[in-house]
Amino acid sequence: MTENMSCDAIDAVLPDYLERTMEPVLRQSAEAHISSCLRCSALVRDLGRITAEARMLPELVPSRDLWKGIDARIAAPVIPLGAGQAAPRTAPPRRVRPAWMGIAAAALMMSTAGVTYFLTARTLTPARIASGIAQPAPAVVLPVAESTSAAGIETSPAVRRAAKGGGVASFASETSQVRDAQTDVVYGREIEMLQRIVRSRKAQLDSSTVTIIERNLRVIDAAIEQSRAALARDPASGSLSDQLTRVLDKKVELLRTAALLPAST
Amino acid sequence: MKLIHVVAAAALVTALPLALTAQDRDRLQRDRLQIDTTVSIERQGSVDLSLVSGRIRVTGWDRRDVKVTASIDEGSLKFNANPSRVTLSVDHRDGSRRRHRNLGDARFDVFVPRGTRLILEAVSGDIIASGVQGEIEAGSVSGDVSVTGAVRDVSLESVSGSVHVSQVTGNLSAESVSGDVRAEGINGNVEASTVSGTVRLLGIQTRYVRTESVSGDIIYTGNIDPAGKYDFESHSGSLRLNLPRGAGAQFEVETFSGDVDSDFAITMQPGERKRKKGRFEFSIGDGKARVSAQTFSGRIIINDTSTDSPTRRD
Repeated sequence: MTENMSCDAIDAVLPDYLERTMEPVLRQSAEAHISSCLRCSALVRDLGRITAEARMLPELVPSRDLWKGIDARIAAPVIPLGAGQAAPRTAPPRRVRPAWMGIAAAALMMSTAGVTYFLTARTLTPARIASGIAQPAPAVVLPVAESTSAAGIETSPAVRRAAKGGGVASFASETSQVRDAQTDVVYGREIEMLQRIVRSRKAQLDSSTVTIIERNLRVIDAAIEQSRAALARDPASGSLSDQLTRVLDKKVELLRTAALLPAST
Repeated sequence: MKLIHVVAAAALVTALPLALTAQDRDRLQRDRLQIDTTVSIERQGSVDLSLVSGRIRVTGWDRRDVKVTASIDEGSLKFNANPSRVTLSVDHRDGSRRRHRNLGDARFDVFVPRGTRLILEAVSGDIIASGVQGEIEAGSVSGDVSVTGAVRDVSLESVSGSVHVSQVTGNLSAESVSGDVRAEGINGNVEASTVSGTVRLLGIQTRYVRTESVSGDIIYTGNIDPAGKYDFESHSGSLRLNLPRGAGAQFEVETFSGDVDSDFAITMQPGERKRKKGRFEFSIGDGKARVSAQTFSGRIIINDTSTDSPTRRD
């Protein structure tokens, strides 16, 4: 005997339903509702598809392992009990230097924050402006890879230069270019995944809505190209880099909105 | 004779339920296409209304009841009510769960007690809420969203429709893709964004504003609180900030290829000016508030509202 569940009840148990951790009776009720509710069945189908897409994404790994360096500096030397002064140390004890520790901690934090950012950026919630908090610029930890082209996303000159490892005049400029290239890679993957979802949902949406979405994506794409062109002329410009990040964010946001739009039929 | 009576009685007993079933079916069909009812709801209860096409109109009143008048051309209405929540939605399937081919318009006219929380959703329908004085979350894909009189948290979205909101005491989040966003008489934090529409913020009293667009213009007419933070960003749209004469703020203005005009006397303190390729900082008044205006190619205009500035436009 199953009890009829409401859409709100489904929303509340959806994580458990998808994780298959529900009580059998509850699951039966949920399935009964989902099979008869257009909204909930579409939601479950979309989440399933997004989950499947997410599984296909490559594992995120930091560009280098920081732990070995940190561990080598904080590990206290083992001194035998009672050895005292009789047993001379083969090497002087390493002192933990607060300045170095601060830098290491900051680097580790950046690495973690970067991974967290990109993981959370792939959540299913529509992008909303967090109240009172500006959206952080992404800290990038992914290695530069040629996968941008493979993903079908147009690569910027910065990506190609960074991928080739060609000579760059200044260190600051090189760092900036590599950062921009990495940003492109990460955004490229995100955008490509969302575009696939939007394409698959196109038939469910009103044609005029699709036209408007596409028109505004073109507006954003033009802004992206303008920002990239300006950044190519001034690769060290932090503000242009921020500008590019903002319009890329806008594209991701619009694609997410489109991916989660209710069906028009 | 006895046999005839028995047969007649049996026929009557058999026919009566059939007749009742037909009546019930008619009534149920009518109820599914039309609802006119009043239910009670507890204070701070919520009303959740959704439809595909048509119109949702919600009005706040002083009674403690929720009055629902709704109709739909095709499909059926799904109505549920308990003391804390009232829901009304449409179901475009018939009894065999097949989808109706023609999606008829639905019209919801609902009166709610002031303070009720509203959740309103439409695909191609317009949403209108007035005088509710509660929290409102409303979204339409291609319809317009219009809200007057709300409190605490108000979140409004449309893709191609416009978002108009006025008389809010609380935090406002308004988003659109191609439609315009117009917010007027807001007393609280304001966040507004669009891709190609125009954002107009008028008569704003706030300590926090964050607006962004890609090609749309952004216009802000409101206060500058000494403890406030105001961010305006657009790629190619212009930014117009209409500020009162007594405003005091530290400005960070940045544009790649756009112009900057200001009615205010820009005071540069020694070491304060950091001009570098379209980026500079300056103060007006006491310089306490923080204002950031950034564009790529859009023009940045800072007007003094007490003057007849040639660049002034609300």
